[in-house]
Amino acid sequence: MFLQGKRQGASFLIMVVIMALVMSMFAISVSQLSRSRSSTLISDATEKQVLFLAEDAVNQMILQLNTDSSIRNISSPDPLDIGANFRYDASYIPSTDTDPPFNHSTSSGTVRGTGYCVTGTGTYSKTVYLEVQETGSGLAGVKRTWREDY
Amino acid sequence: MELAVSIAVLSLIVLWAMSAFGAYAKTGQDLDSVGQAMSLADSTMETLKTYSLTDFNGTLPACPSTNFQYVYAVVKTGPTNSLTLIEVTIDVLDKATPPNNVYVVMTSFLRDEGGLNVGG
Repeated sequence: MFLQGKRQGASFLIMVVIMALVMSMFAISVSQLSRSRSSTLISDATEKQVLFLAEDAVNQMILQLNTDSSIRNISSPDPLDIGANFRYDASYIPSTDTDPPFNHSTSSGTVRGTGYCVTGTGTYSKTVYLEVQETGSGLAGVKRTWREDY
Repeated sequence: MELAVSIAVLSLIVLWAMSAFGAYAKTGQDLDSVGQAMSLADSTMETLKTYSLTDFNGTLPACPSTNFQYVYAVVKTGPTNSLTLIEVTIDVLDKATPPNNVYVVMTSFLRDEGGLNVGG
C-alpha cells in the first residue's frame, strides 16, 4: 500500500516534469517567434522610411545645385521632423571626377542621396544614385538609372 | 507536500507560458497595426507621386482606413530655376488612441515647369 502510493507519487512527479518541459518549450518558442516577427516588420518599416529619406536627399541636392551649383554637399536639419534618429545627406559627383557611378558620355554627373536611421543595434542606411543632366536653366534630374546600396 | 509543490511549480510554468503567449498576441496586434499603417502611407505616397503641382494646393488623399488618420505636413520650395520641391510628411495616427503615432514617413517630389517628376 505504502509502495503503491510512492509509485503513484513518482509517476505524478514525472508527469509534472514532462508537462513543465513541454510548457517551457512552448513559451520559449512563442517568445522567439514574437521577437523574430517584430524585428522583421520593424526592419521593413525602417527600410521604407530610409529609402524615402534617400530620395528626399537626392531631390534636395538637385534643387540646391539649381540654386547654387558651387555647393555640392548637403545634410539634413538636426533633428528632422520625423525623429531625431533619422537623418540624410547628399552630394554631387561631376562626371569629370574619377570613378562616377554613371557613364561620362551620357550624364553631367551623379547625385548621391543617403538616408539613415540610428537604432539601438546600429545605423541602418540606404543610398540612391541619380544620374543628372545639365539643361539650359540648370541641373535637372534625369531618371535614367538608379541604384541602391544597403 | 510533494503534490502541493508540484502543483505550485506547474501553475507557475503555466502562468509563464500564458503570459508569453499573451505578449505574443499583443505584439502581433501592434505589428499588424504598423504593417497596415506602413502599407497605407506607402500607397498614398505613390498616389502623391502622380499629383501635379496644383493638386498639392487642393485636398490631399484621406486615409482609406477607418482605424487610422493621416496628418500631412507639406512644404513647398521654389520654383528655383523652374524646379519646385514639395516635401511631404505623412503621420499615421491610430484613431483609437490619439495622438498615438503608428508610422511616419517623409519624402519629397521634385517637379519641373511642366509638372513632370524629375527627381528621385
